[in-house]
Amino acid sequence: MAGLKTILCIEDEHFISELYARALRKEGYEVTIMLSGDDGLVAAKTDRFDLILLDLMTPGITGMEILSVLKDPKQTPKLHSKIIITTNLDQEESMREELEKKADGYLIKAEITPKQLVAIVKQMEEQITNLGG
Amino acid sequence: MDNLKAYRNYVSVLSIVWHILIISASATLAYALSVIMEPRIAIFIGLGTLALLTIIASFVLSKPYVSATEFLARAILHVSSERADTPAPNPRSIKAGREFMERLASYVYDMSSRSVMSSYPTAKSDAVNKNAPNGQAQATIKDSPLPFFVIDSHNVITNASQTAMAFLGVDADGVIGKNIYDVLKFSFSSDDTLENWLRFSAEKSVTSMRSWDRVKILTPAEVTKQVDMSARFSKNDSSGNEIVIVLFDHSEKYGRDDGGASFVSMAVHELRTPLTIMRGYIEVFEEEITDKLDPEQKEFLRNLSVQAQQLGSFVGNIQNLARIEANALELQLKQDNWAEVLNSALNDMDMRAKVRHKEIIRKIDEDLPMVGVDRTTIYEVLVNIIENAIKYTHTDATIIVSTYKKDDNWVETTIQDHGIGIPDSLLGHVFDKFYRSHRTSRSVGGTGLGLYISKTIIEAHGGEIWVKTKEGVGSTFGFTVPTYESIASEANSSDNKAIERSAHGWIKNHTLYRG
Repeated sequence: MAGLKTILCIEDEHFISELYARALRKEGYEVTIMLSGDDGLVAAKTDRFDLILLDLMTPGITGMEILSVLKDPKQTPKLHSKIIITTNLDQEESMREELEKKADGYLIKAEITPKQLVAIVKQMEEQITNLGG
Repeated sequence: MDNLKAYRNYVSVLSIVWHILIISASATLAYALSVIMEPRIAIFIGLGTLALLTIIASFVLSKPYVSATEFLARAILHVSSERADTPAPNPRSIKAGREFMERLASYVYDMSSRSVMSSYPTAKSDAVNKNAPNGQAQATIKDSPLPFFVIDSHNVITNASQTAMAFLGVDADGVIGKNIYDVLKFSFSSDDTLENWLRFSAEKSVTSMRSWDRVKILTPAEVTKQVDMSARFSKNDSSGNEIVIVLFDHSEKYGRDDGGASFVSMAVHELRTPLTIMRGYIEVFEEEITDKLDPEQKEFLRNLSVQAQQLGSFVGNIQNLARIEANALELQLKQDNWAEVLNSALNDMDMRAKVRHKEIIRKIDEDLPMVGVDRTTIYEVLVNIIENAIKYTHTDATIIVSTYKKDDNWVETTIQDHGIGIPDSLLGHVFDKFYRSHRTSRSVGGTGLGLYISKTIIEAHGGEIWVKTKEGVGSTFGFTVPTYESIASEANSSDNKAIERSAHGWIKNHTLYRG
């Protein structure tokens, strides 16, 4: 079944990644946490994940760089993973186009609670399932 | 040139004093040494010391000259279009004769704009110039290194330099004969605008000059440029007034400086991280331990949750204020269902009202037309005005939010509180930045930013915001947003339709409304 069963959370703030993982696991998702950009990129490239929650301000490689590498066909074979940016940075006009092209979503962490994140993931999942027939 | 004299005297005295000091120091040293060693060697050492001290002195002494020369050189390079990346000179770098140097630099700026201004023909030849591109006037203008425009009393561009066309990326037809405000969309950082100055000059002056720095200009090609700008006004009774505007393009440099404005983004980011975590834990408690709490503890937990939300709104306000101040508030007007937008904000605000023992009553007209709004910023307007109403409404009283179609172009929304009202004397200031009622500033928290930001956002939508009040009874705030139909032609059709932004972010092909 198409869905977003496996989720990679690339997030250096330990409390946030724990809260997200806890809320998602309660609903049956499998969550892997990576605390650095470098580890996150390695994990993401394996394409083992249906959904990647990607912070922009990660130590080491930044989230924006990870996004670029993942979406560059020369560096990464096409992934099936959906990518949602989870950040507390407001989207600046200068990055807008690139983000809208490469990411599947953009969430301000301070504006959503973990439960709301779960609701959004479920909504996306429903849509994918519907599209998949 | 009193300043020049003072500068020369300062330098001469400084130099004489230094030399006397050096020579006497060296002579004293030579004399002292001659007592303990051969006089000839003592003299050599003395001379050596003299030479060394002179070298040091010349370094020290030359510094004020060098910095002054550098200052002037920068001023010259700054106005010369060939070195557009030269930063503006900083008078603080000069230690000696600063006033004199500043005056010289202002001569440089003056002269450069004057030379440009004198290189265009007089107003009388305008008509000729417009129709005869090969005329002599056009040839003179070709030579001007700086973009400049000549406009008449009606703000119509009668002449412009080749560099001006290049600057705008259009040909003469796109400039000559057009209204300057149609061609150049100016954005000044204060009320001190070209328009205001021209109005003032037309009334009071025969000739006057004026300069602005860091003016943003949106060109017809939709490119934002940042310039320093000089203008000269001259009254001419026979042929009408004449205004010359010269631009110094510093887009690249000022653009780089703007990167520094991201300090606010960083601060906002740092504030939001703990906020995210707090909201996360509060939610865990709400979900998992509410059953075990007594009613008072439940209320405490709810207060905690509301306060965290409120802090989030405030942080958003800081970000918006920074955008407004930097002239960087960007709206994406899109077709939207106003009842949905309003309900989403009200759902978020209901809890905030409840913890303060106040109630929000909704009166939303059915059959509202679709509106054209920027969902992210309009949500913040709603939060700010409703938050305000909650603050100022008496405990156990109501806040009434109504919305209806005003006419074909506008949908109006009013927020009526039952509180203390606003005294007439202060009514004109409620939308000012940092305004807060003096009488209540001790009893009611807040920064006075919300209404200022709301007004800016509503006006950026083309709408109006207003307030009516009765002391002791309460105030009603109202604002209009455009119907989608009225702005459909202006809405950005090239925009990515799969993306609907909200204050919380976006997900492709989804709305992020919460129930």
